[in-house]
Amino acid sequence: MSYILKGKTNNWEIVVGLEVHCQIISNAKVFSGSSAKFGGVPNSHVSFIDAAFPGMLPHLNKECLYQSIRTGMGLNSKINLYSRFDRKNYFYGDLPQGYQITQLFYPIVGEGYIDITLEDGTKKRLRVERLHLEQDAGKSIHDRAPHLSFVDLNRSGVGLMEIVGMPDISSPEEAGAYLRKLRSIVRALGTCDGNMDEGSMRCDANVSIRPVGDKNLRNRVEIKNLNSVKFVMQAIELEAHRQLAIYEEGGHVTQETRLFDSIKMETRTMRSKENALDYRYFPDPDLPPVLLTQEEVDEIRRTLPELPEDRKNRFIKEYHLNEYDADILSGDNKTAEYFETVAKGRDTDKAAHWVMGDLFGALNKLGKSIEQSPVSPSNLGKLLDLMAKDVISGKIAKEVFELMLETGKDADIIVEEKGLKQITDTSEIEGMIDTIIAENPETVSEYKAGKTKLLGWFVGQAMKASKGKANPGLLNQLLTKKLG
Amino acid sequence: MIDKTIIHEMANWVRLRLTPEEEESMAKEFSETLKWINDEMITKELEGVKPMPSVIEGTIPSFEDKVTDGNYPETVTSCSEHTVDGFFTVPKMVE
Repeated sequence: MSYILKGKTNNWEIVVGLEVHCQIISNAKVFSGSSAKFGGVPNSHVSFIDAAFPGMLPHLNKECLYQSIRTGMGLNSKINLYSRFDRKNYFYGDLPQGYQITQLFYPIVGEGYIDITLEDGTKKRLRVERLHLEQDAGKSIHDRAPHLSFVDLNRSGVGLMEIVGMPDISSPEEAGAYLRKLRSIVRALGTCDGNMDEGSMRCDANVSIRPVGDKNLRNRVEIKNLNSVKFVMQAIELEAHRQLAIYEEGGHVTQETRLFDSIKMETRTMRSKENALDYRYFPDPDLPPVLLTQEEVDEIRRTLPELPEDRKNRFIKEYHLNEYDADILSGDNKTAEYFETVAKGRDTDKAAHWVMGDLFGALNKLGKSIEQSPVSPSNLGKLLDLMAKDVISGKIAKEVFELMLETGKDADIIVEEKGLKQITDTSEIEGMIDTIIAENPETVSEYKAGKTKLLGWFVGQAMKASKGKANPGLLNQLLTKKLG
Repeated sequence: MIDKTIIHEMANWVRLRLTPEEEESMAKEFSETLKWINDEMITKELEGVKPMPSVIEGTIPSFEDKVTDGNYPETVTSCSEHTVDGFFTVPKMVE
């Protein structure tokens, strides 16, 4: 599905590349043995290295390196056996060293890709340029005193992976799909928790537009620190329209860094090119290169868990799901586990339908994640079993499901307690039908005279009489026979 | 050739306040140093000589992912002249 901006002079397409920072899951920081845990008393998760005391030498947390390699593998990327750290120099109150240790010249992970599937089933491969390992800065708080900023170095030195995407994205929807897929990959691998609202995954978007068919890239604008998938999509759309308006009026888009304001729904200048920082990158003399052997890399690959893409293909094969459903149900470890528990040994179509429809809907309304679901997967499975065995109808199942959400009770207990078992006794249903026919002779005549649409009315009456418990198939069959 | 404008910009990056006279003399000094590097080093035969980012040989020293350090906030902040409630404080920084 192509995303085109229609202007007066031209049709325009957008070109977007995303840079995503993912906080690495590890116990200790990337270059020191202090805790990488979120929170804590100010400046308590800080060693002399993190606070940049003179003479302190950093050394590398092996797990942070391995987490980056695992992520690289999840991105189908080349793992570089030689990589090295560089210093990116800039001044800010929460950067005690005066530089960030990062990897500009020789990153640990090279080119790879992410495959995305859009809602209409379109597939696209989006290339990843690189992934490099670096350290986070500290945290500044500006609102506690009128003339002071407060600095907490607990985050200083926490391991980050920066994943740089190629400018292959051509719609806000693709950007959203890329981010969601990336998040599902890091979560499946256990390398980053992917929580954008907590800042453990942050995104910068490089946006430019060009006339459809034009192969040259125009000036791009970088939008910083987007902290939700929705904001990324909104910011891209807004920025693309801002650039469109400029070009359509014969203007020129300046290369600059902008900030997205989700309240005013606008992007605004943060830094122009003239004020761009010169980071004066150079190799960090404190850190010798990272040298890996192919055997080490192969060993890491052997211990990788199942990746979302592989899981998706397995879901399509094993559970006969369509591409889109498989994508949604396989994307996240918890969702995939939940679905598999429900689907094992049952009608997989129905399982997918219930998980994606009723369950997701309910969780959305309750503002809960799938781990917090009041209905356990085995319990939802039991509900499906009750339907499969004709103990309850689909309609009653919805009612039971609501009660399960409210009470957390087992499906069979609710059915038993509330007396919701389906009536499958032919004579009992026939009895109800007879009463309705006897009480409504005129409607019966109308039906017999050819107004067959009235069958629905009879079904409704019989259902009402049975308090919704009559087996719908049997009821229909008996009604048609009796009225016929 | 390094001129005063470049020196001014460089000084700004590293937060150094220089007088115009200092900028002038620095520009001269830098230019001479770079000329020396050019004359003495770049013109040498360097074929096959690998760049040396560090004087330390070998691979990066690494450690297992265990928390073995930290938890001494008072010591960490003790060298700072300004602290409040365990935070370092600095003149307000607003981007």
